[in-house]
Amino acid sequence: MPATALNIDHITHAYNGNTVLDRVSLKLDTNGFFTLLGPSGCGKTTLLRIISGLETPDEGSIWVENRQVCGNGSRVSPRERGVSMIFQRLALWPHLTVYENIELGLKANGIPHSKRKAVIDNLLERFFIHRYAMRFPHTLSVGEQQRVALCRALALKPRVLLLDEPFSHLDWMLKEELIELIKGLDATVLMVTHDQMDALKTGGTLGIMNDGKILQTGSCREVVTQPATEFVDDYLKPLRGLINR
Amino acid sequence: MIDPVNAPRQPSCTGEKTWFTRAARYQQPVTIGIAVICFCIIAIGPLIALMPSTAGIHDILCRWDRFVGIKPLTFMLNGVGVGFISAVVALGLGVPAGLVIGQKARPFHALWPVLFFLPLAIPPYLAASCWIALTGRNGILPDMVVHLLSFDPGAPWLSGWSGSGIILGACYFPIPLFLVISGLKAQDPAHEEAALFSMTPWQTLRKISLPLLLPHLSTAGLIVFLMGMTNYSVPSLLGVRTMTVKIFSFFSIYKDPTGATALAFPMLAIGGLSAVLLHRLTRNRAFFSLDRGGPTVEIARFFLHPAFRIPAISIPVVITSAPVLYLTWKTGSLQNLGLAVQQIEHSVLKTCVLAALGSLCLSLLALVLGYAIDRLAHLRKGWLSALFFLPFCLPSVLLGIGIIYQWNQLPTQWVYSSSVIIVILWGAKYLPLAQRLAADHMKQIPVEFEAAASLSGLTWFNIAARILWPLSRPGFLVVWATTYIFCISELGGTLLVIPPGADTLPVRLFNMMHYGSSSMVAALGLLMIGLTALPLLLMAVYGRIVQPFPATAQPTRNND
Repeated sequence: MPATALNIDHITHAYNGNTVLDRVSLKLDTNGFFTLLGPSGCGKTTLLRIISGLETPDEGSIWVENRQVCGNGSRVSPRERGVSMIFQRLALWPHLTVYENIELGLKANGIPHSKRKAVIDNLLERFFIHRYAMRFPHTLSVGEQQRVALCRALALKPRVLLLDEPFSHLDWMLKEELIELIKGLDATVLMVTHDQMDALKTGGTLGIMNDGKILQTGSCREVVTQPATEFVDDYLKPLRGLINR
Repeated sequence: MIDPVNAPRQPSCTGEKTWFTRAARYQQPVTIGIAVICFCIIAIGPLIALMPSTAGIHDILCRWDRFVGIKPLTFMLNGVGVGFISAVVALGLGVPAGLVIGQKARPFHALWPVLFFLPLAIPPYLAASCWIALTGRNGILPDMVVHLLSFDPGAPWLSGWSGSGIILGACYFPIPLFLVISGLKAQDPAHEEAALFSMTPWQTLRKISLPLLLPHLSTAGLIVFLMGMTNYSVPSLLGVRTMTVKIFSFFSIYKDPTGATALAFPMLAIGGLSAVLLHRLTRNRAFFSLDRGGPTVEIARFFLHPAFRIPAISIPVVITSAPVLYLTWKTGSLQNLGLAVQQIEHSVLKTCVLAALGSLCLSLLALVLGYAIDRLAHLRKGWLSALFFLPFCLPSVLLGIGIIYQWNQLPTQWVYSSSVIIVILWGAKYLPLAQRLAADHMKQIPVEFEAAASLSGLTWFNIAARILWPLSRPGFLVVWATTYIFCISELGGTLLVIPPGADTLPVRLFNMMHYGSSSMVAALGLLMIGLTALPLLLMAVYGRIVQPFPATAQPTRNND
């Protein structure tokens, strides 16, 4: 049986009395690719922010590789959780070059210069952006910025990589290219998206979320062909033809 | 009914060029051209007029020893010292308050900006006289200390160049305060959040949050330094011999315009250096923003602690309210206030109308210039950008002398002898700052908006009226308010160029400070503060109606 990389147990969270996450539970296998699909405003990003430690849930607990990072009054800071995140708007630091964007986290963690350089060079080569190392993020195209964000997130070898609508501004070819790159990573990936086609493309396990609840999880084919609720049935209609083909 | 297939097509769709479509092509370049010419006449013209003639150069060379040596160096160092101290004091007061206010919507949050605009509404010379009366030798506070603690504080600490710097810093602290608020609004909280995955909160603050605020902080420091260094009124009141005071004396008292011009050269050099430095510090990044970023996590964690928050707010509040309370106490009664209004009714009205209309014209001009600078790459080049900002780095006294040379000619005598000359002086000094603020605001309006409108067939005038103006209205209000505040209290240059019989309120006030009764001066001071703050209050109310547009797409270049 595969080991569990991320275990979310009965997470509940509310903003100003409005419940955005209602007893959400989820288990992610090590090195698996899990896609959480749901309409805008269903609580996907809040869930990611809670997993990463940027927000604290009202109730529930989270384990990253059998280590409790949240719950029972304890809360581990984001940098000690072993998770990394790619934000929807990427959040590349505008005052630092591509190289410095990737280097800063390594530096802060006390990694020596020679090792830092090797890690960064390796990442830049792997994602084909070594030419832009000394450029500032705003001078790059969206696709190149996306790769920089990916390099930055992977520099510290996170156990779990969280992706918040990472492909929303990309064209189809670039999406495919990045999905392949991410699939080849040695990390557990949790991606949230509202785009059904993105979810299908990633393969892996699929979860459907609505109104702060996870309605169904399973393989793509399973969820699309055997919807558990009326909402899932309606929401995945665009995929049905593609799965059957 | 119109047959959609066979209906005649619009001329613009068929590519047929009418005189209208041909003329529409020139709307943008002609408007920008006129604005640039106006700017050159108003702000660059006085600098060119300052260049001495051949005879002037000969005269300067003959008396060279008067303009080089220890004395001029001392004047220069005094000015730099005043500027430096004022920048330190202003940053020390403004930055912490900005960090606290910019983080959270507080109760009466619309009134906080008005309260902290107030120090800018108090003319520095008036603030200086209040602080001297409160804390100087035989002042109210030292007397209280002597009576209560039987302790003599000794020499007055508000004297010399350091005293001038402290007073000016206390007057100008809203500049860093508002620039920090603006910097916080422009920040994306995700930048900090991304850092938290690999860094401690302290490292995040040091490496991400504060460096992102650095352009705002350095710009604020430099602007206050320049305003402190070029200020005439406070050093002159405290008897500090700075270069600005000496230039004024040479021109106005010794009647030696060549000497004044000779002393202007080091000021031009420092001004030029400052303009280049400002350009280098900010590059093309905006230091003024009305965008609404979220509250930044780490700055909030460190700076919203009560131990920091309470002094950060209460000290500026005390510094803001002390001069106003002193003036109110000194005025004594409403009757005295009425008497003061009666005496200078004409000056009050004239100053108000002139400042309001003058700053309106200057702000409109600044908006077109700001648009031009942001949209036309060749106007953003380093040296041109520095040249555009240079007049702001010079004392208004110096610009006043240049304006006299430029406009005191027979063909332009009608301008020189009217109140328009005062507006020209204000323009020369503050148009560079206004156009910079406007350019920063324009930066936040994506060019795609214009492109889309243009593709929809709108002419440039239409785009300006229907797209650019509604989006730039909040920024325009800020530019107008800034220009109005600085214009209405301008003194040094106004003293030189003012036409006979057209004295403004600051000139009357400054003269009365030398020979008027203290209650009258206090009443006039209160009146002056009221006149400056009233439009700000109206703006605060209006600002709740005209909200800045939300932050739109990031200015990202897509090469895909």
